[in-house]
This record gives sequence, structure tokens and C-alpha cells, in this order.
Amino acid sequence: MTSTDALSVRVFPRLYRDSVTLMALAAAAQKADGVVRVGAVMATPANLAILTEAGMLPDGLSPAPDDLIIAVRATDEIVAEHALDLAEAGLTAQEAIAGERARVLPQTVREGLAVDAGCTIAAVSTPGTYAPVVVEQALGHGLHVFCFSDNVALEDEVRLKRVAAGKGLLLMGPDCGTAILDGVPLGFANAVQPGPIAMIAASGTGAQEISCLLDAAGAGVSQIIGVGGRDLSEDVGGLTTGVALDLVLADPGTEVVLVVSKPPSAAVAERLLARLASAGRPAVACLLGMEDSDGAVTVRGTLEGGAAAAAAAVGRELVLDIGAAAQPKPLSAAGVLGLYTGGTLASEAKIILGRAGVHAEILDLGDDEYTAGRPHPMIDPSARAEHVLRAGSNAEVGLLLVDLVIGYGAAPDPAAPLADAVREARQAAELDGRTLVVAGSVCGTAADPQGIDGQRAALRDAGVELFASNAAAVRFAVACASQTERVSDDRQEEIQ
Amino acid sequence: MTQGVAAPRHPFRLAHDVDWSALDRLDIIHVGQHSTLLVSSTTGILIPVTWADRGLAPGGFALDERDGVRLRAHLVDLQRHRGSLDLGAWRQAAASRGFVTDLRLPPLPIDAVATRRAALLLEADPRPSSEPTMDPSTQRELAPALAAAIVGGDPSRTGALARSLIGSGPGATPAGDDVIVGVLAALQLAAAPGLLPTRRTREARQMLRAVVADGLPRTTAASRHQLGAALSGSFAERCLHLAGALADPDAVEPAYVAARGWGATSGIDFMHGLVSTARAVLGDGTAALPATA
Repeated sequence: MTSTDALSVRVFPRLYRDSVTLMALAAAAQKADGVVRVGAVMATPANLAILTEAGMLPDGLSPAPDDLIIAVRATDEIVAEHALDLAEAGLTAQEAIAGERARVLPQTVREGLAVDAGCTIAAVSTPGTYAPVVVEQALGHGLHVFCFSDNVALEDEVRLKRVAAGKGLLLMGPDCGTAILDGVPLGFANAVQPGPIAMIAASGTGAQEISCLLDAAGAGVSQIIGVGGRDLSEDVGGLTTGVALDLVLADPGTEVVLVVSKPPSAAVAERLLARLASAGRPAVACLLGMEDSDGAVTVRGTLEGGAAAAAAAVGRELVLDIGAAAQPKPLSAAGVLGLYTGGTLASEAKIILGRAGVHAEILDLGDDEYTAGRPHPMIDPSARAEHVLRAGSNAEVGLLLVDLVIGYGAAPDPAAPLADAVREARQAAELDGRTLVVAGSVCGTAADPQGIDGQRAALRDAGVELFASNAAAVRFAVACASQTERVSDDRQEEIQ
Repeated sequence: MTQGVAAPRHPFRLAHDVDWSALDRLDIIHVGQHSTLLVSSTTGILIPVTWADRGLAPGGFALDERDGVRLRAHLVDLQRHRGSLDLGAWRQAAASRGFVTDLRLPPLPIDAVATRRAALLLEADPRPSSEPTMDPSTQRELAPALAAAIVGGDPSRTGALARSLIGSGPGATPAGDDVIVGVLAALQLAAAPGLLPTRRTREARQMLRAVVADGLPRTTAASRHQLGAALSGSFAERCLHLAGALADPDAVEPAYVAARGWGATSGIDFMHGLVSTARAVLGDGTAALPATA
């Protein structure tokens, strides 16, 4: 020690902090320029003796064993005091900047409401273990909830949705990715024009695809209320869907109600259709995989069909001109592979291909098995690029189906990595004497931030056959597969 | 302001020595990510409540993680408003979904290979800090001497060493206290009749216990709780697991890895006390043994 060394000490009476925090604070403080030594220990008699022996304790202090003492030896007093200030800030999770305390950010729902009492909705995006607690607090404060968190136990979802329904509140989710409420997008959503169609969706990309098709038809949305993928299951029984219906039917801006989902349980479907039938306004139930029917409620089994029906209900026609001129062709190989980022789009593909008897492998790359420890492919498109490259080298794949979802929350330029991968995959196939056909659609609107025209152009330049909707792209794949089968049958006949 | 805390919704565990009379007015000492430390404002008794993988502690509760997360959120809120807690509702809940866990450490045969393996792991364990006031090496290095003094039947030296360890070193539970808890755990393991038979070793052990009991006011509340439980033969679950690993060579390394995650240094501090004493009990014949068998 030199005579210019300064010692500063602070005592924090009866302050408990765990050992890891103390060790980290001391280590961090010691790294500052000019700081020679830092000790952060409990003020037990034994530790006071240690500090004294180390020259780290001034005379005249008599703290108690449960007090925390932080001692800093530095090149001068200013440095020492500053180090203590930083350590204290670390203890109390506040920052002292130029002598003023920075604003403490709200740490709880109650504190958030204290900052802005006009809040009406809480968006929850925490690990699934913690989400039920936060959701319950939010509901307790009378807030609607947009719950982006997944991995929430079903029993918690049921319990909390009963609480929410009892209060007339929306619990959107868990695992709800899309909503537009009074024109405000939440999660993944597209810049769609406002209009008279309210959508209640147990499907994120389903809501996005339909809202974009409606936008293309000149029909806008009043609300998009996501309800979470399990809401229409037997266990949950459509609890949030029921609340959502109450709200949209009371909304003067809503003229048509559209519900989107994978097929619900039979009992839930029956109740849902009965409720829609008595809604007093046109209603469309887009229940993926169900047979189309027209009655009190228009039922459609594809997203494209649901969008067309809803648009028609407000006097608009859905024109699917993009890709209409594409000519189906026989494929080099019979295999059809779908690499999707949107789960519902993947489901729609499976349904259409299955109905046509086309054997295909359709992957939802946003599924948990592909996203463990990785961002969703809508956020990080590079994960799908690897699969596309492999498809190019796979002699059994003749046609690749893809989707591209743009809009709020999606990557800034998702087309570029997909286009690069498609280009490379097609080249690899060509070198192998094959042609890889790639077909897909862009789920987006002209007002989306990524620029839909540029995104489409990038994909076309790479050789992707683009269509106006996912269903149209899949129908093209069906047509190609049929031609391939016909050619194969013809060849078999020739041989025989 | 005293606020009732809703009982846990899911099955939970409670230590055999929970003092129900202390649960109606509790102040919050600390709220951590996976545990909270409460203190009775009437009796000063500490009530540790843990969840996730922290394990049960003497006098405390171990909750399902969902209940723990819920409790934590409630306590964080309450802490800002300086309220007190009433856990009375938990007593009724315990009748239907509480499972009592006995945290008393039974005597177990200390395995020489396991002890040797543990000792080697500790020798290779890195120093946590280069700053002397934050480095528990001083306290850890006293563990073999204390163990030798006890097993060798030297009450005077036992007392002197124990006094120097109490409240000494870094951590919310100072490192020296964690070493002592480890020593007490090893002595509990070795409590089978005949293992430490001499009058002098009994006197040394009694001296240790007396010094620790007298020294409780000279350390932190958290350490007092831990040391007090250890004097009664009760230890936190994670201590029980680590102590039990000395009966099974294959359990040693996983237990050591787990111990490295206890606080900043507490787990390894405890392990030094435990292993040093186990080696002394075995007569240090472990020195000649290979690390693997």
C-alpha cells in the first residue's frame, strides 16, 4: 500500500445477498481502473478481524454480524467511492448516474399499472414455467392477456381461461403468436387494411394467411383475436373463443365473423357452429380439413377457401392471379417435400396433398423438435436454408414446397437466404441430371415492412414458382405429381 | 401489515423440524430465484422455502416449482411494500398434500475409495478468488487440522480451531461455518458405535459442539440456522446427498459437481469439512488408495 491509497467502506445494515452476488460484485468492482482491492463480506467478528489485518477496515466501525460490509481500496478516494457506488447499485438493482437515481423499471404487473393505469392488455412472453403466474396477476388486475409463451401446462391454461372467461377477459394463448386489436398488431402480424371482418384464430399463420388474402381482395379486418392452438380442444372447450365471440359481436365495426382453426373436437365444433349460426351476421368457419359446406354457417376446409368466403360475405372477390399461368410439369422424381415455417400452412399442405392421394413429406420447421435452442425460422431463416440444400442433393425429391411469411416480427429479409439456398439446391440437382421444382407463396401484404414485391422478385429470380396462396402452390404440386404419375404409368405400359 | 399467503396448490415437502408456531408473522430476509428466507418476527426462527432443484432445508419447505414461482412473485411485490407474511394456511394444506421429510443424517459406512476420490477432486478444485478477503482457502485449509484434533482427541485444539472458523470467510453463510457443518456431518456419518470410541474423541466432539453453540451469536442468521440444525443432526438435503456420496464411489463426482453450484463457495467449503473429517476417521489410509477402483 502506498500513502496515496484510499480506503472507503460502506456498511449495509441487515442486508442479505447471496454469496454468488457478493462474489460477482466484488470481482466486478475490482476490475475498475484504480481499484486495488475489494472485499464484500458479512460483518462477523472473524471477518472484521480479517479486514483489519488486511488494512481494509477503518477504526470506529462496529457493524453487526448480519450487516454486509463492502471495503474498497483504490488509488484515490474518488475512485474508491465510485466503486462503492457501483457495488451498491448492483446490490439494489438501481443505477446511480451523476448523483441522480435512474428511473426504476416496473418489476411487477402492479408496478406497471402504477406507471400507466390506462393499460388494458398485458403481453406475456416469459418461459412457460413463469407464464401462469404472470397471467394470473394480469387477469387479477382486469387486463386482457396476450400470452406468447408456450410450454404452459394444459391444466393451467384451463384454469386461467376459466378465470378470464368469468371476468369477460381474453386470454389469448398460450402459444399465441398473432393478434390485431383495434388496429394494433401483436406478435407476428401483417400490415393489413382495416375492415369489417373479425377473425378469431386458433392458428397464427392461419390468421396471417387469411388476413393477407383478405387484404389482397380489398376486404379488411376489424380484429384478429388469437386464442391459442388448444382453445378449441375438448379440454379447453373454446373458453377464449367464447369470450372473443362476445366481444366481436358487440363490436360495431364487425360485420362478418370468421373462425380459423384446425378441426376442433366434435362437441366443441357443434357448439361453435351453433353459436356462429345464431350470431346474427354472416359467419365463416375455416376448420382445416373439414369438408366445405354452405348453410347457416359457411364451412371451408382450407385457408384460401375461408378467405374467399369471408371476402364474398362483404362483396369482395378473392382473385388468385399470381402463378395462375404456371404450367404443371412431370417431375424428375416423385418425391414432394414441404419445408414450412408456418405450422398451419404446413397442415393445409398435408390436407390438400392427402386428399389428392399424393405422398409427401411436409415438415413444420417451427415445431419444437426443430427449434429447441434455436430461434423460430420466421425469425432466423438460416435454419430452413440447410434443409433446402439437402433437398437439392436428394435424388428422391422432385418438388419442394416452401412458404415465406413476412410482416411484423418476421426477419427483415427472409427471402434472401431462402433464394440463395434454392438457387444452390437447384444447381446441385441440375449437376446430377435432375430438375428440382420449387413452388411456394409469400404470406404478406403490400404494406409489410419487408417489401413484398422485392421478396417475390428474389424468389422468382432463384427459380421459385410463386402462387397467390399456399393452397394454390400445393395444388400446383398435386398437378405436377399427377403428371409425373401419368408419365410413369405410360412408361410402364410401353415396357409391357 | 400482515398478509396471508395462499397455501401451495401442488404437493410439497416440509422438513421434520418445521416449527408451526413460528409461521404466523414472518418477515422477508431475502427473495432469490429459487428460494426465499423468512424469519419469524416473534421467535427469530428462520424459515427457508425452496423450489426448483434447491432441495429442502432444515425447518423449511420445498415447493413445486409452480408454487415457488408464484410465491416469489408475491414476495417481490410484498417486499416493496414492507409487509409481513402469515403462512398459517400452509398447516392445513400440509395435512392433505404435505410430505414430511426427515433431514437427520443417519450413520453410514464411509467408503475409503469414495473418500479418496472426493479428496482428489477437492485438491484439483480451483481457487474462487485471488482477493484474500474473498478467498475461502484459509478456512478450507483449517479443515484437516480441525478434523485431526477431533479424531485425535485434542479438545483444546478443537476449540481453538473451531473458534477461529466461526463467522470467518466470504459468503452469506461464511466459509468457516460451512466447513464446520461439513465436519459435523462427517461426525454424524461416523456415529456408528465403535468408530470413534475413545473418551478423548468424545470430549473433543463435545468441545466442538460447545464452541459452535457459544459462537452462534458471532455469525450470520443464515449460518446460525444451519449450524443449529447441524448440532441437532439435521442437514439440508443437498448436504445429505453429498455426505451419502462418501458411501458410494460412483456418487462422488456427480455430488462434487452439484456442490460446486451451491452459492459461490458453500458447497466446496462444506465438502472440505466433510472429506477432511472422513479421512481422519478412516485413519487417512485413503492416501495410499488410487482415485478409481
